Amino acid sequence: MNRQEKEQYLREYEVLKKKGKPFFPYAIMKDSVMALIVVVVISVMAIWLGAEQGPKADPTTTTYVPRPEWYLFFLFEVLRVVKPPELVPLATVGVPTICMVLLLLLPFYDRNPERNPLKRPIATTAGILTIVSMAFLTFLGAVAGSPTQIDLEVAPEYEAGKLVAAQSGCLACHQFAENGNNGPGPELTEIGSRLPAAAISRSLIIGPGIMPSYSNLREEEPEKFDDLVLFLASLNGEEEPQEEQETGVGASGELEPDAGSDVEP
Amino acid sequence: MSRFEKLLPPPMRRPAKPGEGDGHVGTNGKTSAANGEVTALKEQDGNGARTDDAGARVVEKAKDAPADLVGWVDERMGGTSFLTAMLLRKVPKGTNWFYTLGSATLFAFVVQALTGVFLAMYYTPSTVEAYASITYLTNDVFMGEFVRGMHKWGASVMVILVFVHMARTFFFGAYKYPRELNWVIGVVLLILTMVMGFTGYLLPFDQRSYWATIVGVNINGTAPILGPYLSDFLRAGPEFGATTLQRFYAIHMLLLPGAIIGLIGAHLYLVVKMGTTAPPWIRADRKPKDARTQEVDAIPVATNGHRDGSATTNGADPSDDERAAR
Amino acid sequence: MADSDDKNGKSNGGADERRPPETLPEMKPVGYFEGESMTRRKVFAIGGQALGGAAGAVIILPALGFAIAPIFDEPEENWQAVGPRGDFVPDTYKSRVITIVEGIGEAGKTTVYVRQGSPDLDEDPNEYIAITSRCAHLGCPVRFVQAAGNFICPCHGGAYDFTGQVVVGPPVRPLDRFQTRVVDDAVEIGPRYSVTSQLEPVRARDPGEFTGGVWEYLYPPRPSTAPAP
Repeated sequence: MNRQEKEQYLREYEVLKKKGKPFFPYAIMKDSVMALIVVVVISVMAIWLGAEQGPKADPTTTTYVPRPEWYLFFLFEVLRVVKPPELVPLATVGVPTICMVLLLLLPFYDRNPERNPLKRPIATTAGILTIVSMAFLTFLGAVAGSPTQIDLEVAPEYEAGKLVAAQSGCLACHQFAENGNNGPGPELTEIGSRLPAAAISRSLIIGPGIMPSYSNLREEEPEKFDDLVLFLASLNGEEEPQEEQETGVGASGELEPDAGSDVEP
Repeated sequence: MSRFEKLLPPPMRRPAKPGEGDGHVGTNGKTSAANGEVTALKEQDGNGARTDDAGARVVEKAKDAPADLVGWVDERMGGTSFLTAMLLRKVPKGTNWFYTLGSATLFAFVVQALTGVFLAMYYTPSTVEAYASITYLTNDVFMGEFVRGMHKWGASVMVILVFVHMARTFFFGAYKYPRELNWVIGVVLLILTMVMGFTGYLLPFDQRSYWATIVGVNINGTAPILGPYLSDFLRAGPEFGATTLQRFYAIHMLLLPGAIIGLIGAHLYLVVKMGTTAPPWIRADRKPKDARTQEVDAIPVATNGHRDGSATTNGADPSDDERAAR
Repeated sequence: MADSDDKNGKSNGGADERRPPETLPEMKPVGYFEGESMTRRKVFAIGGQALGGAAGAVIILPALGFAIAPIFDEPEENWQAVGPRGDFVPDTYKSRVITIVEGIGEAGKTTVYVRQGSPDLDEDPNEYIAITSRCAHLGCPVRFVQAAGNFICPCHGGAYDFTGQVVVGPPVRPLDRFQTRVVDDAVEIGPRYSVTSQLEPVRARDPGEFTGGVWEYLYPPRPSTAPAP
């Protein structure tokens, strides 16, 4: 702002101020109402939502799923989606520091003397974009699931298999709808429509590429292995899982490699 | 003198302008709107002419007691003119409900501070005993869960209010000239508020607290060169150790509130000094040039001028005619 | 031509002789005596600041040192037994709890996954491998999934293979390990150390810090950690 613009603003401000009302009691009245609202909201939340104590801090746990407080969910979600390890310091300290510096120095690089938000398209757009993206990231962070949880809805007979899948580390490399990692393994949400049960079983036993082999599971707990294959074979993206009853995989779980053609859904 | 000003005790009223004749501002100067008596001058008679003498005189004196008290303090402290200027300053035309967000944030902070003080009376900042002290506070102390709930949810409310207040300031362009410093202080306050949330979050010492803190401190550690030392400083060692909790407690209770209170003071000082902005879609009426006596068009930028909203002089400053042609 | 010498009551009769008459008279600060470069005012000003600064430093520096000292504390080496040799096998990990910080009860413990060295992976069966349960991304607790033989972190989607090397996700280096030794047929766990992506040991780092090569200087080893084996 050059000197003339500054003076113009100050002049206009004086006029507007002269036409205003005294702080006491007009603004104080509004402030008091707002203060009352704040205290009522806090009290209602305290009474209604309560302050339950969680379990005691246990550094030896291996089953707990840590999550931050809700107002840090957006940062948490950023850390989840930045997968390449080289970019991690950027996500943890680089981007937040840059954002803080940008915020701090805003009045020094925003030189437009215009104040009306409708007449400052860049600033208004940037502001709205920031708010929307932070809100979206916060929402994503809030619904992020644990790596031992599959939320996909399946028919009751496949629940056992779903549990085996959730507990066997599949989600580390595969994605099931919203849960799990999208790599390095393929997404399994509709694997049943792409691979027959026999092929699925074969993959599990061989452990192609970097995938570990689950032959141990098959030897030590064959029912779990069979449930797992049944569950995976049922994932073909159809709405009614009941149709999968006729896959003909067999109750005992013994699979013939050349039975593949019989079980195409 | 407006109706409201008549309610104030005389020492707090704006000093009368010459020619504004207010009667007198002695101890009888206060009009009692409550019992509908009319003006100060009528009470000048001194002995409560309308009602019974002795009793009425005592009642009249008693009604003036608060004003007398303020006068007594003012003679010895001299702050009332400042208070008057602050309370009776004008806010620009068009000030709406959005402008209450700042004081709402302040109020949320006050709620946090007060509930925090009460929680501190029961909390033990020891790694071994913190959880148990919170259990005791929540279950066995009268209204303990309520106070703890207020502090917990008050933190979320305060974070929300800080962000909404910042958004309001951003969209109204209130960070521009001459309020840049205020914005900088405000962003620092935002950062301090988030750090308060981070340090306070560890104190209940449950699973969520512990792991969120571990991750948070390690996030600090990823900064090159200085990061690992900063993490060591926060944790008091290479691992989450015996004094980490106490360190967070000291930061949360002493260091940060002190810094926040100081910065809030600076922030409010600037708000009173610079004045709050008018909403940006409100424009001053452009009067034609010959009626310029209504506008003040002579504000020398170099001096402190009339920015604090005190009464401005009418009439153009003849030395500024060259600025008038625009 | 006000000569400040006259003000101080010291008349110097021929003050003109020391300066050419064309120049303007030198302005001298109040309290200046002819021939001096230091005034009492300056002395007190500087002295006051110096003494005040010294007083402030005497208070602040020890307090700061107090807060910063833990960075420079050298750790004691602590070895703990976690079980007899026979407990551990080369093809899966067993979890054990050890104490890494004394005196604070549960908060000072952590979980360690221990196994015997496996000949399939070119390891010595007399050596034991102890892997930490803290993720190398940001420190969340990883869990070992027996069926898949890998470690999964619940926070941001990191996963490690059987030897602790990163398979997928944001972790920046393989899982940290603990030094191990065998004393009287019991496996003992010692101080923690970090590894490079080639599983070479380096001094312990915090999660999120890269190891190896230039990163050894960008994330310097700290005196508060034990030396690498």
